[in-house]
Amino acid sequence: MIRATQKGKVLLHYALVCALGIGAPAALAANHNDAPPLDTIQAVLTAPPLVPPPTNRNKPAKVVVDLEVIEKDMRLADGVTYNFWTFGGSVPGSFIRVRQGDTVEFTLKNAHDSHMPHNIDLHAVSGQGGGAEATFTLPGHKTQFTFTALNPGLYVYHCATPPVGMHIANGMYGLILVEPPEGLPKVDKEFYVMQGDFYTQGAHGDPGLQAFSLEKAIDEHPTYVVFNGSEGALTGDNALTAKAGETIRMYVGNGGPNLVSSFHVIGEIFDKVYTEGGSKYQENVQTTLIPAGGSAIVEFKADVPGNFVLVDHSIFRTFHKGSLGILKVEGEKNPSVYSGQQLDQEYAAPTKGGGH
Amino acid sequence: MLAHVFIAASLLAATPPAVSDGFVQIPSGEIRSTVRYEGDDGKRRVATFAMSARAVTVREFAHFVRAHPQWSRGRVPALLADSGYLSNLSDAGTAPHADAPVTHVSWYAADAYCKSIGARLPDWAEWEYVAASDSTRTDARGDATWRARTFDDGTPRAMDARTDAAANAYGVSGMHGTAWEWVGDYATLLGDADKRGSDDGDRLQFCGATGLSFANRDDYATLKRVALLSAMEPRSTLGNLSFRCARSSP
Repeated sequence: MIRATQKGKVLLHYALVCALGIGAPAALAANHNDAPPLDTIQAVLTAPPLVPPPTNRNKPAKVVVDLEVIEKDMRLADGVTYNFWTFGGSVPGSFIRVRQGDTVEFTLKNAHDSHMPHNIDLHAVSGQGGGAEATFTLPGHKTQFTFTALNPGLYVYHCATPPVGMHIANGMYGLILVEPPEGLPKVDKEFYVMQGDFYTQGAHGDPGLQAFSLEKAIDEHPTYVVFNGSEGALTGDNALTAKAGETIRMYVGNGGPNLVSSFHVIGEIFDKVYTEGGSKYQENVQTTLIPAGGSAIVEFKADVPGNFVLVDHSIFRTFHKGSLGILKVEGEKNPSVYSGQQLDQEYAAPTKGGGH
Repeated sequence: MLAHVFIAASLLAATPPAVSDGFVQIPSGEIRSTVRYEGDDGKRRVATFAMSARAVTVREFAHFVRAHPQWSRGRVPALLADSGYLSNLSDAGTAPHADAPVTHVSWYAADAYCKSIGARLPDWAEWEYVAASDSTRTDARGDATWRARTFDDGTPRAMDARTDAAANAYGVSGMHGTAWEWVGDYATLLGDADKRGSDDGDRLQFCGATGLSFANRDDYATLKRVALLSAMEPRSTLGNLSFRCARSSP
């Protein structure tokens, strides 16, 4: 108990130190005098469910990332809106894709009409606060820092300005992929999916602009648990689509702030799961656990057509709080893999007195 | 402490707040501040003082600038105000209502304004003491519903967004408005008198010693407000940062 309390204090202290900008702007030390000059590339950023193209490079580059914090009202569910705080205007925020060894020059802008400062902690960064202290940014200002992407993997980024939980609960998270030098194996389709839990004053489905509920957030009782920032972000016309026979890779994140996701696709088996977004993969996985502030890369072949359902298999969340998406696979049926229904008939009742 | 609040509350109930020259007398009392200094428990004694009944308006600040043209947008030195200073007043298309709180004002300009009327900026403790009040209670912070509404401070959804929003129990209006407000000692919220000099190689001590901790970690409106103020330099301005003035009792 004492230990837990101390840990809490350390975490709070960390959050404040990294968030309150206890660093002053510093000139970047140039340590690359011996190295050949790097090509400079402007990073392509994408809103979910899209993923930027592979870097397709055999050498490191200087990658320039410009990301803007935007606060705006958006749809959370049918008839329900929420004042989201976003990285790049979407929840989750813009997907960033770089290569291991890249020098990333990161600029964070905070829109002029934001109501408070924000910053960014990228889990892909080795350094104080993951960049949070270097990017504490007032509305109408921009800040910059540079890091080298030392470790490959799929990393979460999030805002770390106090009160940190509220910034994350309002949608301030996203993913940055650091490709290994050889890149990832080629697949036919890539998607960006990120789960988050939301806490509103009103009950699930209560219409109108819903305010943040601190009490529900502290109690970890979310009103909504959704993929890509809203109920229905991946259903109907927004469903992910593929063709039978295509190989699919999903970059799956979990922004939290509170819940751990039991990510599962109904009717599919993940051929590979890069557990926790790391370098090793497990094979033949049904459901993979994605921590809050963590990720996984899942790969599978869409063997047969159908509607495959993305869920958090903590299943009441799916049916009552929104964690449901559709991957619609079109193509020729393959009865040798899956026949579809072959029979529907009554069978004889047990004879009277027979019983079990 | 309870007794103080009780006495203050009954006095307030019995007599309407005394307003003169736009200032309201605030009775002395104690508040458990959400912000702790040097490991204390947040208890603050606030002496009797007077506070502006509302934030300084666009009209009032425009009058000040006419009388003190060194504070006009074109003449103010960059050391005392950033490029956004009064930018909304010079652009007719976005000029706010004359009775709205003035924004895009630096700490230096706010300080000069208050001095020009024989006043000063309120201290954080004074500001927090008065802002804890709703229309009937001097300290409404234990009311989760009221507290939740304060999370919208500094946004168009703020509970005191309308300039005719009801005054609080002290007779002060707009403490939870669309704009945050400067306080005189805002820089001490980080334990340093001048943030421009903070890069002194002693940051860890600076953080460890004072580094803000909070006596009430559920008071998100204050956490947000302190996060915002701590990001400011005294020359900084924002479209949602205003101010009001205070006077010590003689």
